[in-house]
Amino acid sequence: MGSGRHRKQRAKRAAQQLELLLPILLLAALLSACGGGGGGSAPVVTTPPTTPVDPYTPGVFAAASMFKDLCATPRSGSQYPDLQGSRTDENNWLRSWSNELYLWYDEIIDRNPASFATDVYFDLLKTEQLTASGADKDRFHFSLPTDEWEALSQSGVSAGYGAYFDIIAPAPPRKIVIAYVDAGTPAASAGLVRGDEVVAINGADVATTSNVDLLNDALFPADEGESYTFTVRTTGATTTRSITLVAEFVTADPVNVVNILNTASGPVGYLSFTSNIATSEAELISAIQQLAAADVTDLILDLRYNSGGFLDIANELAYMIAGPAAGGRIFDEIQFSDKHTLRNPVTGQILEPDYFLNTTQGFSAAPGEPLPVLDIEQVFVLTGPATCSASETIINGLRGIDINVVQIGDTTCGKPYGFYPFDNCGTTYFTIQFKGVNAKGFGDYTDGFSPANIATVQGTPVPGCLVADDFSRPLGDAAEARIAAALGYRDSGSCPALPGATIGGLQFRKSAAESADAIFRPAFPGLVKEPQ
Amino acid sequence: MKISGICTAAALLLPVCGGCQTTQTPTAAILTDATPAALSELERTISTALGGTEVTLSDEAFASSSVLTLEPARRQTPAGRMASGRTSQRPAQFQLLRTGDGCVLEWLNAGQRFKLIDTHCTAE
Repeated sequence: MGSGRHRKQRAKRAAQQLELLLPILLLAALLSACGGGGGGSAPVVTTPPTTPVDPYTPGVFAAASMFKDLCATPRSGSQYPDLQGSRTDENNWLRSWSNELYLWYDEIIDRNPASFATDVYFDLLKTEQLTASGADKDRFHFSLPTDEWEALSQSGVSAGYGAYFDIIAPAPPRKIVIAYVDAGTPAASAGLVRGDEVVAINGADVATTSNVDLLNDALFPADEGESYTFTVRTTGATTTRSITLVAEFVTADPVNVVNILNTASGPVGYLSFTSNIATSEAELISAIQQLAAADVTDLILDLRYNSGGFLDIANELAYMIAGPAAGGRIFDEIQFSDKHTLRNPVTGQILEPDYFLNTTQGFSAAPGEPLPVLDIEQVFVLTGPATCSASETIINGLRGIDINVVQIGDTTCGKPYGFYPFDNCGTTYFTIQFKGVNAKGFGDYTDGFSPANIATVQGTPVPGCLVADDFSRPLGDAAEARIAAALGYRDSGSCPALPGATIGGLQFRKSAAESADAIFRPAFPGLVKEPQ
Repeated sequence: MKISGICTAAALLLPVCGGCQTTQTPTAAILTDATPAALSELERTISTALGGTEVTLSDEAFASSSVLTLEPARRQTPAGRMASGRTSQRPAQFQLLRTGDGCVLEWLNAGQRFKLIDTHCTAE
């Protein structure tokens, strides 16, 4: 799905110039208070400090509201609630807020807020425990400048080339391969296709260069017009070619491949779903209608590049797969810390589960319409490390109602968690506040979901096959390794032999362990603070 | 444009809501011409409605659908994950409407309407 010329409104805080700002803000504040969890900025109740700031006493926490909006450098403008405070006030708010809302609040080491810079202090306000696999238990702790977090785009529109870069090895020797290209974009016009390896950018060798900023800037342009020269090598080729890509505001196609794979035992549907953005709702409905019309008896759902998004869209898709069997059953239920077992501490609402949705929700389809269904009892889900968050919820939600999920690919990222972002003094903080569980009460997949055909798996074992990504074949091709494995498993219940780390066009992703030379993936270089 | 009719209580707070007159039933509309002036006005109006938030539109906004959905930019963390990978909040949505011989933009989440001057539209 392409795009032509795009525009960007850069009149930051333009409303300051308009007289009607105040009532709008009041209404916007009321509206935001209606929001659910995990998305935009959370409603904030500001309570001016009524008592002097207490000195730090380990293990004793004043109400976070005492320190809210007391800023070392208050923002100017009547739209901001900021008051003059200090760095210690900001740290005290973080300390008390984390104690009130952090899922593992009792695993935070209590440190004196007067002793740290605010960004450093926030980074310390999380658990330091490890998962069973040895990974950090909390890998989702970060902050952003509030104005950047609140910036909005037309659904699916972002600056880029229309190519999804899969960073297989983020640290030297790095390896970057194009996973897919959206039609009508600069990448498509340049002839880039799935499997093309990026070997150099502006002459810098991708595998070894120390110029990480160049790689980040080129791979994730912040604005239209940014231009870089990419040297690429097509799968199996020995020669390279250089192309210049100029970033545009491109529109993503979240359901980029829908196929009917005809087999001796009947038609199998294939659906590549890359992102739970609003426009995906209508595309998913259309795809399911197409597959249902073909009377598919099985579905291969490709989530290998899907890092999540709107939870309700994951819910809708899960219902469209399971059909009426899911009606009235729990898709997902959030659980906060043991301090908040009855009410959502942010919204104040009684905690209730999310049931499977059997109607459209109005993201991009008309709301309230019955969803089409496949009504199948087995689904093959193709996964990888980028399969994360809301897309993992599809797996967990379906397993919760005993749909047979067969996992083909690699271990998922492991994020059953969510948060309400909170602004304080111009920074929006993201800290894990709840986890989601399925109808069986299961949500402990911190190490991801892993195909269970090997003796020792990293994550929660799911029936299926460990199969490397196959960049030598297009998505939707029956011969692509993961699709072929799904079809083979469907016929025989067995998995293909495990390849080595690299055989032919097959690639297993290497560890993304933090390294000074590792490629980051921020759309805003230098601003994301999440550690690996 | 002559203004008459009844605005919502919320919209009465907004001077730009003068466009929400409804002596004629508004109908869903799309742009007749995505001129720079029209797109600029749409961006400015949406940004203003949302309290000054930076907004990015494509030049295909309202070209084929009367409803425009806005989402937070697809921020990625260093690990390549979406910053908002699990979102329960509903996206902001705006609908272009034709009222009489003019066009208004309705913020569907809030029920507010904003009169458009430089934007020309036709029934969807």
